[in-house]
Amino acid sequence: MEWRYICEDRVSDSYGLAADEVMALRVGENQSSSILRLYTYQSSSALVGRFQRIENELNLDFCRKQKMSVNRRPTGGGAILMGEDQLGVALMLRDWKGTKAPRELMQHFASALSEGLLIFGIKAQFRGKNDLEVEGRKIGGLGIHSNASGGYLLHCSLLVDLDVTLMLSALNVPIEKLESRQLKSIEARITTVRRELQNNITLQEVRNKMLRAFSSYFSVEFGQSCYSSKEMEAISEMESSRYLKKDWIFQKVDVPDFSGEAKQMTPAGLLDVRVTMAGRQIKAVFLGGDFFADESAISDIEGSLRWHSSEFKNIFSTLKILYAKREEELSFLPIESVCEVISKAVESAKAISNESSVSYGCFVNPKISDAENILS
Amino acid sequence: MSYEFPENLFFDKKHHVWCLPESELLVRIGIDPLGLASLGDLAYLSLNQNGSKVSRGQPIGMLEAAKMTGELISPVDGEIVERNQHVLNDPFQVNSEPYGAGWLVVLECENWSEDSKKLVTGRKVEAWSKDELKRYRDHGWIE
Repeated sequence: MEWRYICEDRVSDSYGLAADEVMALRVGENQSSSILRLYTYQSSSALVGRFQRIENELNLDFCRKQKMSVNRRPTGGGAILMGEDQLGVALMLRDWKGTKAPRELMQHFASALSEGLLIFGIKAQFRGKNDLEVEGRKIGGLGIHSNASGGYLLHCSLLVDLDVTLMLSALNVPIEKLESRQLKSIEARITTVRRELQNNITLQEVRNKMLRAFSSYFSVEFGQSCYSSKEMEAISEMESSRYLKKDWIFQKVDVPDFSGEAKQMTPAGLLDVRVTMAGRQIKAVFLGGDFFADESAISDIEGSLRWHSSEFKNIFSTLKILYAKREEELSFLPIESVCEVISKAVESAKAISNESSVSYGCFVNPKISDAENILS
Repeated sequence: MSYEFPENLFFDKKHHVWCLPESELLVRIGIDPLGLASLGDLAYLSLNQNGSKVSRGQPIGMLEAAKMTGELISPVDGEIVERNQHVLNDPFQVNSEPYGAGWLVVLECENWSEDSKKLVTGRKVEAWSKDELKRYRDHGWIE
């Protein structure tokens, strides 16, 4: 079987997003075989998730001054910065071996990405809704979008490198309030291919290995391809009707953002929890305090509750699975206490609607000390 | 989660969307529990404006759920005459009451008598939903 392989570099935000969406539609309509697109954006483009409030997520003044383009993706999740050091991995397909379930397709997509990284010796794993992580540090943000034609767009922004300071400046995080140790803490929660390898590997090398890994994982041959004139026409039409339109980029969202917090003394010490929410859904949880527990296990709790139901019973059942896996590291922090404090933080968030609650973007998951300073 | 499929509703087999005819012209639309099981909890929702024309198989809106973003597909041809503002503000209502307060839109149908023939209803619902539940369980999509 042969799939199409499309390689592009330094594309504009509107063109890059339009091409992803159009080609996924055409694959869904059986007008194209499955496609792997490995590409980069012009440095730099700030892209928010499908339903994010752009004015909450991005520092639009900074973006304007830096001549940084801003746009809205069709996929969900947090804001990202894309440029010449971030590899866009887009896989468009209808199904794979009869599988049409989005979560399963996402697992396969993440596994292929992990195999690509493993060629370099980087052990990555898929976690939560959309995180590709290396020992608890995020190296890729994943998303999946289905369209009316039955096609799927699976997308990953893979960090070959990242200017963290630039990213934090572009996101709506008041970076001037962050002390250098807090900046370091945020940096410690993100990693890149170059950082993991401790060398200056080129993006092209990463791209070549990813192509090889996808070919092996999906047992397909890739034929180098470019767009037909009909496809180019459709991309151009999509670009002008959607991704160049202010109505799309700056659209309003009905679901309010909330944030809340709760502190409680537990047998392990003080537990300090902050949550950010989209309506009734938890977007992110930050755990802090003076309790004793393994740092990576805490990071696992936070990761497992990202984009998660805020219902107590659902939080409890997710954490129960995690506690079973990491019993020893979490033994000092009773699951009941953690669930109770998270629920209190959720309740406090629901009680206070905050239209301009702080967001951290796709690649930022600060420790509680950072959150305190950002929120103060 | 309970997976009930009332026989008085009309189900789109492919997209797991239900229709409730309220008159000869008006049809209320929502997502059934199996459709929601493959999406997960809804976080965000947008619905096309009142007055917009929709065709069977084409989007009436978009959503972001725990598992993906996607388009909401219309099971019939028609025009949106009412949108559920409550679910736009709190999309989780679609998960908690899929056949009740979690409805999405009311459409004025162009040709309900023809479109309804493409949907499953009445005594056929039981056999169809049983097969679907088995398929979802076999794949491990639901417990």
